[in-house]
Amino acid sequence: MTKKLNDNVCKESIFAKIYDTYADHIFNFLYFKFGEDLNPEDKMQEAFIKLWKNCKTVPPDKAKSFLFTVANNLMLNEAKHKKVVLKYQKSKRANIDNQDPQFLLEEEEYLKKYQKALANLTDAQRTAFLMNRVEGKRHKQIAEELGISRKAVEKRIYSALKKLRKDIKEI
Amino acid sequence: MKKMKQEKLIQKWLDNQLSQEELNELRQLEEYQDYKKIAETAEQFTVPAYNKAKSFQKINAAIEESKQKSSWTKQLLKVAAVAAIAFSVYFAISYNSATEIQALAGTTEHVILPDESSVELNDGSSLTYYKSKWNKNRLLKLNGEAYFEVAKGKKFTVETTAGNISVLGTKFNVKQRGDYLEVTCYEGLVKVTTPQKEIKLAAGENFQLIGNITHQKGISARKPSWLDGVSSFNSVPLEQVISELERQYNIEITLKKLTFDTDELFTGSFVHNDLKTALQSITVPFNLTYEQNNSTVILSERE
Repeated sequence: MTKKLNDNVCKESIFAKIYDTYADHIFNFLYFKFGEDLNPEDKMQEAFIKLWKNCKTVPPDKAKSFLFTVANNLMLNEAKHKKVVLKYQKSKRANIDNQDPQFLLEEEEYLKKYQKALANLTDAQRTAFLMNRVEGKRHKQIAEELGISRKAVEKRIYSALKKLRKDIKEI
Repeated sequence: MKKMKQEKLIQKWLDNQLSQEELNELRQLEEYQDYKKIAETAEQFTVPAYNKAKSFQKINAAIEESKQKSSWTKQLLKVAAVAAIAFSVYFAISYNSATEIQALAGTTEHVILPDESSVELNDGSSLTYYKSKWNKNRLLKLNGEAYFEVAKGKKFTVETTAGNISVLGTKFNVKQRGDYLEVTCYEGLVKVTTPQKEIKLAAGENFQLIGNITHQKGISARKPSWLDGVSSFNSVPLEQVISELERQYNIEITLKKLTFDTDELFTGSFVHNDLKTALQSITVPFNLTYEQNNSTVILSERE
């Protein structure tokens, strides 16, 4: 317990451990929210550099929320009015079985619609939804990382699902 | 109600918390197949790959750089901040404010000017100069007597109410008491400017201005005698000698029943450390006697 109190993000081993634990989370979050055009890797690095600069004031157990907040803020300065396009991977299902060309074409069509629909979601809806679906995170964890209530997370994900269904049908 | 329940069910499903029973219930839902496809398709939108280790190296490089930068820039800033404060305090105190040095009665003061020129200030004299302007203009105001050893450089000017003395690097003595001015040059060349005229004094020359009358003569001394605790006079009016004695010993001298004028000239000297001897040095040549009463001395003619 006392050791924990003495621990400090400024300590290189602790900083490295924090990076190892959260780098992917921050990267994914940035990608889900702002897409690839804004270079989530650079921004993720920036967030960690900022954490280091504030290592004296941020205790290790607050590092995670610090990183998410900083990452979010860093992107906000650039992300305004930019359409977010996320890339999908075609190949993932292709080798499951022998699909006929008609099915593949339909599938391709569907993915394109899906992509557009995703871009139409609000940043908040898309981020929460993809954290849940792609990263497989539980609502509780998402709530913690985004610094919002679990109820809000449930609402965002559910409304994302409904909106995606509606948009895919209409597009 | 039904809708509320439906929403709860879907949310639970999205959070992987459905029981088999609930899942069966959900499957009855018309939209279920759509939702299922949407939820599963999302997985095709994976994040692009990035090199985690390389990214960490970049972070460390940036940290290292900022460390070095901040460590010496911080140090530099600290030093600069202290220097700035010290400088502004120093400036606030010294800038534009005149530096005035006074030698009280019976004492002499040694002054080193900003250019290493030195001034020996005789008793009851004061010297004023501006530190901030010194480099541009070596100008100081003298009230009284001082001996200067001027470092070579730009024009060096001593202003007195009786006239100005300017030099370029030399040793000289200036004595001004009221409208009496005496300048002795010991080394180099001195220019004396009075309202009446301008005189150049070479080394070993002495200039006197008594009222409107000027005298110029040669001297053999290498520096003023008062520096060694002796006041020397060479054809100086008695009243000047007496006031010098008053200043030197911080006494008051009154003259009684004199049959001659106090502008009678005196050549001689008196010491600074023995009033009795000093009084004798002056009274004997003039055939005077003295009476001392604490800090008052009465001079009168010998009966």
